[in-house]
Amino acid sequence: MAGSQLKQLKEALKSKGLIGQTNIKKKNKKSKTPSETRRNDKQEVIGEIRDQFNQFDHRINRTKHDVTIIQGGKFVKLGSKQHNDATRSHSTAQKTMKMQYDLEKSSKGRAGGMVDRRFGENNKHLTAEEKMLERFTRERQASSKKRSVFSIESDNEDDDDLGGFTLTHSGKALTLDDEDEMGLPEDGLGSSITVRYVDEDQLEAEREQEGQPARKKTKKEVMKEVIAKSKFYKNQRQQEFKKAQDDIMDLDDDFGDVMQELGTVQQPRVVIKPKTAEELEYDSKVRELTYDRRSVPADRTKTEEEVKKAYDEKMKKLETDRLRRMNGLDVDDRAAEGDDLDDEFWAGSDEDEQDGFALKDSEEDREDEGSSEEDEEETATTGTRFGRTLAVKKQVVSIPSTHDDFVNSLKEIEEERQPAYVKKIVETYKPNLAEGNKERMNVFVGVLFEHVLYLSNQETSTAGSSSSTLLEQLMEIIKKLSESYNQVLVENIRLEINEIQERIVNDSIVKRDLVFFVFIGYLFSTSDHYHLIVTPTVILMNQILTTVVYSKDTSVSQIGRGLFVADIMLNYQRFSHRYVPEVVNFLQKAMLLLVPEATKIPQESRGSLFSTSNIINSSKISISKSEKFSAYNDSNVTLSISQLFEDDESAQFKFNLLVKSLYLVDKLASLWKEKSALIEIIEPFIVILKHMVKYYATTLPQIATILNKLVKIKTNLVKERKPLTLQHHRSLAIATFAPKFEENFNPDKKSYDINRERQELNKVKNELKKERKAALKDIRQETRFVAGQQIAEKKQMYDAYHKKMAHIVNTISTVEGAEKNEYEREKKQRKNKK
Amino acid sequence: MAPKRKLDNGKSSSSKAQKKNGSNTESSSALLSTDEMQNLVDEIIQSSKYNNLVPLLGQYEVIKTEIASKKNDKVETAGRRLSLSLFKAFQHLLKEGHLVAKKSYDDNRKLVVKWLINKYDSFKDIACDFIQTRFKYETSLQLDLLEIVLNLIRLESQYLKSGSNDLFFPNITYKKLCEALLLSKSGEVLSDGSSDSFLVLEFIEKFAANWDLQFYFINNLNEVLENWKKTKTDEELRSIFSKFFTIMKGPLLFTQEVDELEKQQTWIQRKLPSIAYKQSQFKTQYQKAFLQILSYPLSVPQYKSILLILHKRIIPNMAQPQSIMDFLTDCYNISDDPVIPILALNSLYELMRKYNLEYPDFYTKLYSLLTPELLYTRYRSRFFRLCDLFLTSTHLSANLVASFIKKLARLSIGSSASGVVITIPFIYNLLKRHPTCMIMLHNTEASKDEDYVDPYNNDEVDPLKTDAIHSSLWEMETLMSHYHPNIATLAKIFGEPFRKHSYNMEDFLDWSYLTLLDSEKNRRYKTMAALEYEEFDHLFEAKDEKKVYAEGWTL
Repeated sequence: MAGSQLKQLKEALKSKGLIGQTNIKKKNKKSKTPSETRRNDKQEVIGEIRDQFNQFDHRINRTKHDVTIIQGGKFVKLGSKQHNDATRSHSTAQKTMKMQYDLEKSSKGRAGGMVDRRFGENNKHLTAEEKMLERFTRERQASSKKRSVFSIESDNEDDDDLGGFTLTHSGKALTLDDEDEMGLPEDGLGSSITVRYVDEDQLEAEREQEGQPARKKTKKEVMKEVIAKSKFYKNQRQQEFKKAQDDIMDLDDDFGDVMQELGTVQQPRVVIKPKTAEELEYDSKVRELTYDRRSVPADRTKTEEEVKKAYDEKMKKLETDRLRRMNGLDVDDRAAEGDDLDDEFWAGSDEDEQDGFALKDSEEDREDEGSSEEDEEETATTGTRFGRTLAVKKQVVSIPSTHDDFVNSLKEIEEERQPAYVKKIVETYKPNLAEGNKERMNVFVGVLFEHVLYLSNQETSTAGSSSSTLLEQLMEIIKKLSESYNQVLVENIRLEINEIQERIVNDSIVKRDLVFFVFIGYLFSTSDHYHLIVTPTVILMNQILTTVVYSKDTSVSQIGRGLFVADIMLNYQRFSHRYVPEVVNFLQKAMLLLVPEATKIPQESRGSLFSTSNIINSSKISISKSEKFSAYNDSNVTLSISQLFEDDESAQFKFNLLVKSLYLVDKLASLWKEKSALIEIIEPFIVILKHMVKYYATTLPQIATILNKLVKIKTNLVKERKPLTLQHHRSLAIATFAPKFEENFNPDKKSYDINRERQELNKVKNELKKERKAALKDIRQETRFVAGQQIAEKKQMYDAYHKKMAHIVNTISTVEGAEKNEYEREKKQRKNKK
Repeated sequence: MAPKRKLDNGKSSSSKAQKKNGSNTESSSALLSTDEMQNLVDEIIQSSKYNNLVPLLGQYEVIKTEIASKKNDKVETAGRRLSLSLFKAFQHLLKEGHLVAKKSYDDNRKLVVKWLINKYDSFKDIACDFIQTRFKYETSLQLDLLEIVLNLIRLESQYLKSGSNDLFFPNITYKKLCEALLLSKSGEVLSDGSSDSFLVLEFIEKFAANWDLQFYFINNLNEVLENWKKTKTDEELRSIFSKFFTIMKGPLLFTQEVDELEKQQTWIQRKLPSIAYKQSQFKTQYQKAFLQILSYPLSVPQYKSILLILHKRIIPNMAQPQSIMDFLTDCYNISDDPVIPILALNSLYELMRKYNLEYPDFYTKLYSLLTPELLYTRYRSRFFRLCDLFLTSTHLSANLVASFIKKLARLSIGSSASGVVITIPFIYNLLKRHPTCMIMLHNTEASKDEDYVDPYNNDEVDPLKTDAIHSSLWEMETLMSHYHPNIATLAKIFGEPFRKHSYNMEDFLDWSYLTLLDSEKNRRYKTMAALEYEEFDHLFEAKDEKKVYAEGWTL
């Protein structure tokens, strides 16, 4: 089309034959031209043209490329109006929507839903009161309506005549007519209800009796009967159930009385005959048999080799355990450890007695049992009562709870028998023998340890060796107890450690403290890397040594005690070879103080000494040069601990101490021969020994040997020792930050989230979004369609109406016109007739 | 004020004392009774019978002889009352202006004034004499007299000044008192070099609060101190020092700001002459006094205690702190006691840092302080803190640092646990700071050398020449098997990569056996304490040939 809008309009109108020449012969009849006769056609055509010219109503889908497709056998430009219309009207979705709509429309108002027919329910202008009033009047009117005289329906059908209109409340009819009906709910009795329902059979029979023919029942009547019947039966059932319930209640009420009655009635007594002695004996034998021990194969006696092998294995295990502890590897608890120590001490007795049998009772026990039979009788009675014979021994010894008690109880016993006495206490109060024994033994172990220290603190003037053996025997017992009463022992020792510490600070150590160190070494594994008891003890010992080293004026006895502590310290380290600087320092000071004329040690060799010259110069206790001593060949000298507390200042004692320190120098040199700093450790001793040799070459021949040994060690070490290479470490890689490549990277994929869960979550979220959009789109489309459909329907309806009206007007005007024509004709004729 | 309170006490107790009059006079015949004393004083005050002063002052002689030998409460109370009365009398005279000779007075009047001044001076002299003397016991009389003299100073500053607007401090009286206090024979020299004299302690209370007392104390003493040094014995000089030190060891009120100084409290309760507020004057006098007193022959504990406060309290107040250098050098070179040089280090460091002091061979001296005792002294933490500071510089030669490391390592193999605990982290820090010294731990070259001999010279004094850098720390390797588990573990750091930046030395400086043991006490019993499985037949030496635990020992 070309030209202006006006021209286009003219063209269009002309082509439809609305303007211009109207009587042109049509070349092709296809184009619709408004006929003269049908006015509507003209309107239709004009409407079409109007639509065509209204550009705003056009929907155009713009396409990027000019594509033409074949649609419905025609070439259609993609996105053009024709294409759009066609696709829209022909799409399957459109069709289904149409179908859906039609279905809904056809079923609307027919299926499903509820019609509220209550009067005035939807009337907003009525109040609740008014509604109720209105409903009531309506009902009354309905009921009072006079039936038609000719109605065939009988009176009893009056319910129906209300036209289905009754007042109800929660589904029940409200009527004011029957007073009895109103009273029903309150009474709750079935008797009156039965009156209400009519037995239909009876009714029929009556009717037959009356001779009237059985009228064919209407469907409504039949249904009514059925309902009435079922209601009737239901009611009957309910009545029965209620009655049964009442009966049960009555019975329950009476139950108490009945039982009371029953109680008073005498029962016939069952006579139990007393058992005869034989029977009793039999019973007891049967009972005993149940406790009889099952015969089990005895443990095979091991051969000598096996025993040896087992022992070796045990020792090996202990050794490895010790090594692990020494290296500080062992941190877990060692539950099995304790059992390894002494299997023989309380051999076998434990399990036996737990079963109530003493198979391997010692001689002593038998004697005990024999001597105290009366006691046994007593225990036996109690024993048999529980069907079990406990071997309860008479407790001839009493367990002391404090140390004083213990000392008192020991007074009467000779020293030789004391260990046996203690053993007996331990045996008598074994925890499995009686309740509370465990606690008593816990206390006793503490008391025993205290007693050992107490004994060691005593003056040994009476009998040195015997008290020493007593001490050792008691210690042996403690050692055996130490695994089962470990915690108590440890706690006691820790208390003792605190006390000793105080004494060290106050510089008032006593003999028992020194003996204590020996005990610790004897009881506990001193090679451990860390040990709850040994570590603090070692600290204490070093504290003693250090106070000696740094005190301004050292006494001879202090040196003696220090030597003892140093010796025990080296004993502690005999296995682990740990280095103790304090011992070295102390020994050196001790020797410097004791040797005669320390000032004569050449100045140039003093540099290696740990202590500076003021010790040398200030020594007041050195042995004077002039003293002569008898030759002493033994490497070690035996000293007594009590001597260390006697403030013995004699030259002989000093000399002995010197010998002792020589022995210690030798000991430490061999103990620490592995240490790389051994040169520095022994160098000061070499200096001192060189000095000593001048004085005691004859009296102490071992000086020369030790000196030789030390010098040899030194020269060897100086040659052998190489600088340290402690820092051989695996070189550490520098952290790299190279980019990471994704193996199967796909640029099409939307996300590369490493976190799988998050990725899936995002996926679901996206889907949801899409679905939501689609659903909204659908809903919109549907509503648009429905709206369009409704408009179309309405248009159709209006069109139909207008058509109808036009038709009617046409017919009337046609008839009228015909009549008018008739009239005109008639008039003409009459005129003509005239 | 305090004297007034005493006055009240005197009054109230006098009525009681009157009843006991008879007994009083019997016991000390020469002593006047309370009543008599009271009368005499009243006469002085009310009727100007100045001659009464003579018998009253004469009383002190009697009192002195009485209490010099034995404890005598009655005489002492009488003395106290007498002192109080006389104080009142002189207070009266001062207030009335009888002790000032005015030009308008005639000769007779002047003569009286002169006589009165004479008596007044003799009263002060007697008081100072009492303060100076040591009696059998610590008398309250001495305390009273100290207080009276101080109060007289206050009165004098008010009534003896030449003009009403003049600022005056009774310097002469105060000087007398100071000398008496320092010369006082009361109290003993304590172990830390200070004095426990009760008079000095009493005086310090007033001294600490009042600027004038402090200033004039410093200002007055120079000459006297010098004179004493020439005339007194060493013992006396130590006693003087102890008192001086006790008085001066507390903080002074001196500040750099003059305004604040002028606001300080004064004993005479009025403004001082302007000289007292001059910075330079005080500082010069202070320095003089201290240099003088430090040149006294001191005891070792006195050295220690003065060195302990020197760098914080004393050096900042000196006009030229460099002048104390000689003293410090002397201290640093004292070799009898290793502690004194250590303590002198602090002040030396202060001088070097703030006053640009140059100390030749400082490191050599520092190196010489590394002695076995060092690791055991109480002041080891002080030393190591400073030593850490001195060795911080990365410009120190590796030889020098290596010498220190090696020496410390050498010391630690004979040291107590507390010393070892210090040296290990200290050496670690040094190695970390001076990585060139790592060769002492890791020397692959020399370890291949067949003829390697440890070149370290332990006796060399110059740390630059010890050749420690070519040695190795075998001592530290040995300490890896130290008996204390924690120390052994600590020593093992030398065998591990040096990843830790540095150890905080403060955590290691103050360990002792007690603290080590305390940390053990807190451990809980968890598993069975491991037992010794090795069997010994005897604990102690026995006659038979069996296995013995403590060989060579019997009970």
